[in-house]
Amino acid sequence: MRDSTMAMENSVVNAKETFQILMEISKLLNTGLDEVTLALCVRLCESGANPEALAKVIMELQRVKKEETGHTNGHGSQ
Amino acid sequence: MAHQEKFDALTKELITHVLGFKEDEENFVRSEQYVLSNLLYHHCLAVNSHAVRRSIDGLCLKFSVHGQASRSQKLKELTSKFLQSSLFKDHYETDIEWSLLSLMLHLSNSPTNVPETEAELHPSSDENAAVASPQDIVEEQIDWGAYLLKGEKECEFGPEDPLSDWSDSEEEDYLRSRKNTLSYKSYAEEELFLKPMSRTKIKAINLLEQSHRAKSWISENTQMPYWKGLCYQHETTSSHPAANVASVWEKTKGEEKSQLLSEWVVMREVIWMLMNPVSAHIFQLNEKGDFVMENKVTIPSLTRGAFISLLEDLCLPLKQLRELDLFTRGIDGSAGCSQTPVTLRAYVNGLRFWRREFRMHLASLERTVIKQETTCTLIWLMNEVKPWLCILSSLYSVHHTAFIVFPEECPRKLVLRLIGSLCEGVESAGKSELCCVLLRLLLHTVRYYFGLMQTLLLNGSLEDVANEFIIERNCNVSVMDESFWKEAFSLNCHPDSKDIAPNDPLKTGLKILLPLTVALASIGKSQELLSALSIKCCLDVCGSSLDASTSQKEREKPLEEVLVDHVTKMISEDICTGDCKIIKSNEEGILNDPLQSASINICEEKISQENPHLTDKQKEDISHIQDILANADPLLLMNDLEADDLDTPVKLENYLDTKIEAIRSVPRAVSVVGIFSASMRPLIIEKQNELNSKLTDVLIKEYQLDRHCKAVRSILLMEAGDIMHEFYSLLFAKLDDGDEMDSISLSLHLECCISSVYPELSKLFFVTVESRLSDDEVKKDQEAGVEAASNSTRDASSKLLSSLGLPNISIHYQAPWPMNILFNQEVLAKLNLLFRFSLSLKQATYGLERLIFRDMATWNTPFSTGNISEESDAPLQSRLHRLELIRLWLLFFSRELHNYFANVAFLPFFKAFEDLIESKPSFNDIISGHKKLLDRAISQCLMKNNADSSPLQLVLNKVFLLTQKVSRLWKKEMRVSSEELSSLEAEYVQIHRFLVGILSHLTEKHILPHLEGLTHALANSMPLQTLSHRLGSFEFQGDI
Repeated sequence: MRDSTMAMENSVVNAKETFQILMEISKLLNTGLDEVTLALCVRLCESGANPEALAKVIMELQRVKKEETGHTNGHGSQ
Repeated sequence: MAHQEKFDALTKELITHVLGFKEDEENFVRSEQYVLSNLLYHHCLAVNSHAVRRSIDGLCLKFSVHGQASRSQKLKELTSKFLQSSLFKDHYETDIEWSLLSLMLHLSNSPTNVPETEAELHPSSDENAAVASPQDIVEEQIDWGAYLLKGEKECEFGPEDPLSDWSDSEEEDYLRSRKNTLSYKSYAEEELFLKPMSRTKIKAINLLEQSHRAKSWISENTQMPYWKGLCYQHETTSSHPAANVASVWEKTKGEEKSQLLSEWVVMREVIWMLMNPVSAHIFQLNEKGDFVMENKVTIPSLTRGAFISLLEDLCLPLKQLRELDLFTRGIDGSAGCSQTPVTLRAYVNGLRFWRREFRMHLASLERTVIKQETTCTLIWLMNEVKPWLCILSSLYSVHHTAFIVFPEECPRKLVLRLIGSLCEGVESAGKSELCCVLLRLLLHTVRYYFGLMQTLLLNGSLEDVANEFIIERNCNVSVMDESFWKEAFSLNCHPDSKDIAPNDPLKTGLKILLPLTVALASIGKSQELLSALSIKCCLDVCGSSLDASTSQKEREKPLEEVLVDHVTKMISEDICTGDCKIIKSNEEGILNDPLQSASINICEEKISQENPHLTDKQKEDISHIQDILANADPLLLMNDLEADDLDTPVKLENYLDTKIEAIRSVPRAVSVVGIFSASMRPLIIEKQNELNSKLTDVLIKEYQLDRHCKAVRSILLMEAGDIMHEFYSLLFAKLDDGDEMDSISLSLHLECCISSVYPELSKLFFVTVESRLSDDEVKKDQEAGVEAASNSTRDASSKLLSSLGLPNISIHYQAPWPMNILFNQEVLAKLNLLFRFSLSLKQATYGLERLIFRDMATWNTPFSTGNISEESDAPLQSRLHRLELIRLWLLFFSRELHNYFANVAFLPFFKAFEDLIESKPSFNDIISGHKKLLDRAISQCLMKNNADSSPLQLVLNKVFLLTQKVSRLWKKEMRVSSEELSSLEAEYVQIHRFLVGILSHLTEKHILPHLEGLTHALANSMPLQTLSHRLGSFEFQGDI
């Protein structure tokens, strides 16, 4: 039981480290993803989503968000 | 479906997180639909680990190239760590690690543009940075702007240059918001204090960078005056030995230090020198006019020797360029001088085209060197200019041969030598490019020459102000002179002349132009004569030549344009043989389309409008084109009209220059003679034929050329036997009677004889008599002639016999103009030669025919009574018979000669000349044919070299002498002795054998085969006298 618990803990630590590495790569490549979004992307990929299609979706969502933000700021300034 | 369930929850989370929509919002639903549809239904390929690997490697390389080596290294390390993670070993989703990396790469957004953080810039201090507190970092931030500006004076800036790259947009806005002047310090302070600290630091760094860049730019773009002395030294940025060969070498060898120039500077000077070769820093002009290199200059990467050996090959081309440029300027400077041949100016114009092209190429090279976007070295530059220098060498060789090798002579020879030199250059050029350049230069050069030809063709006048054309109009000969046809145009130099050196290109120029020149001279003479005859020279374009419309069009073009078109056509035919069908179909397509056809013809029609010599047909064509233009859509034609403005006059010269310069490739070896003759000759010959035909028609129909010819033949060659019989009967009677011969009485008698047949021409004939010897001299000569004949010495007999016979009688014909051109003094002299020969034949026969038996009637009485005068002598009957035989022999001999030469020489002449006139050839052919026929007749009468010493004339004189002797014996009445008869017989046999010997010799050697019949006839009628011991000396020994 202890062994399984240890293995579990190691696995979680390993997962966290791997995620941090991925996050570093994401920053280095200037993807603009925060941790939550990246985690969701990882899960989607694990669920079998095609990375290229997912990237397209993410970029579109980021674009919409940027537009929404700009729109809101524009109204706000008025 | 399993996928969709998993995706549903995650998609909702994603949309909620990223966009912030709530589930009940419409936007949420739409976003969810969008995300799901893209995730579930897409056309993207599965992840390829190799492709992802390559992309990551490429990205690492990109970081390195952008000077972000730390990022490159970091990416490599992170990727490696990520892939080595044990998490993916037993993962249920295969290649999840590559999927995630692929996702990162797809989402990557210009990572190199993100500024590096301090940690990234100083990776070694990462560990310290981790330890240091944020407070320390803030404290370490330095006010770089204030720090660097400490102690600096306040400086005022002028109005901001809108194109300045010294400020970014924010600064520019800020500066514009302020007034025109601004204190830099106050601005800096304000900026530094107003903005947050981090921003101030970035600004300061930017300012530093800009300052550094500006300094670098100024140092790179400021040309130091290195040419003002050897003190300027270029400093190399690299310390590598290969970049400092010169310094290393000089230090090692202990040589004097050279001036080091950058390769960039040297390249530019080379380009400048080739553009305009003058004395400069590296290449200097010495007193001899040669370029030499400054031996204390080099580039850092080459020793002085290597530098000189690299560039010294340019010295000769620079000299050649300088000489060509000086020649060009010299000709330009003499632009106002009428003595400078225009062909030389045309040549210089052609040279200038090539020079300009070379300069443009050099300018493009200089731009490349200045930009430094590619690697430009001296070797590269030398390779770039090498083809041009090869062409320059050939051009200079042609120029040198034309102007320098041979001493300067008259403009005509100078120009012919230039053309010959160019022709030789074109024909001997091995490379297509060189051949093309020389061909273009030749076409430019001969333009004026062909312009002169054009004027000669159209107007018949040679407007050669600078005396440069191959033929010259002799001003001393007017069209009214009888020597007009022969001497109106003269060729001052001939290719076979001994004055011309074998290697002189003048010979080539003459050979190439001579075939055209003969026809041109004939055209010029015909034109001038027709205009003097007040005949309209312009040819009827609606006449018979209209069947060939293209030929008509060609004739309307200037010759120079015809030549250029021919060359262009020749080249295009050679190049486009394979693509012939395509081009043809394209052309047909264009021609079927009136708009395209119109736009293509615009240029040509503009030229036609400029041309004052437009024909009606051409004007119709122009109006047709204009109609098409008017009916066409104006918008469609706008481009054409804008590109080629109809109102702007296009000079034909420019148009031709463009055409010539468009010749860019010559596919095969070019024969200049072939080009000239193929392009020019048909037009010139056509023109010549038309003019000749017109002139002959006029001379025959209006000036009765044929009647004049017939009259001259009738009189001088005794074609009209009845007329001349009366004349020569009187003449011989006077000679027999020993009456004085005077020209006036003979002229009157001749006029009287002729007037019955040619009343209108009778006054044009007159006789001149020129007594060779006085009467006493004649008698002495006759006696001496007899002795000479008995001595059997040919020389003496030749001399004496030649002076016997007829007086030097000549019939002159004062032919009216323009017939005097045909019957000039030379022709009349030849005709008189034949006339005197005919007269000699007639004279010999005439004398013998007058010895009739009735005159011997007194002999019958003593003969019948048997009164024999001398017992020792032969019987009288025998002597009488011998005398009769001698008469018959002489009569047969002289008649045989007369009939033979009448049939063989004179009758064919009459027939041939009749045929010549009937065929209506050119006047030139009539003149030359007439001369040829006369020469042939003279040759057939064995009088080719010298009429007086002609063997026939000698024989005829001798026969005449014998005739006189026989005549005297005929009237001697019984006192004729056998010895006298034997002497006569021997003399006759001598004459007969002499002539047979000569004729046999001539016919055996096939010198005059037509005399074979006469030879046989005379040989078969040889008298059976056996006086061989007295005959030997009469054998023919000399030549005819």
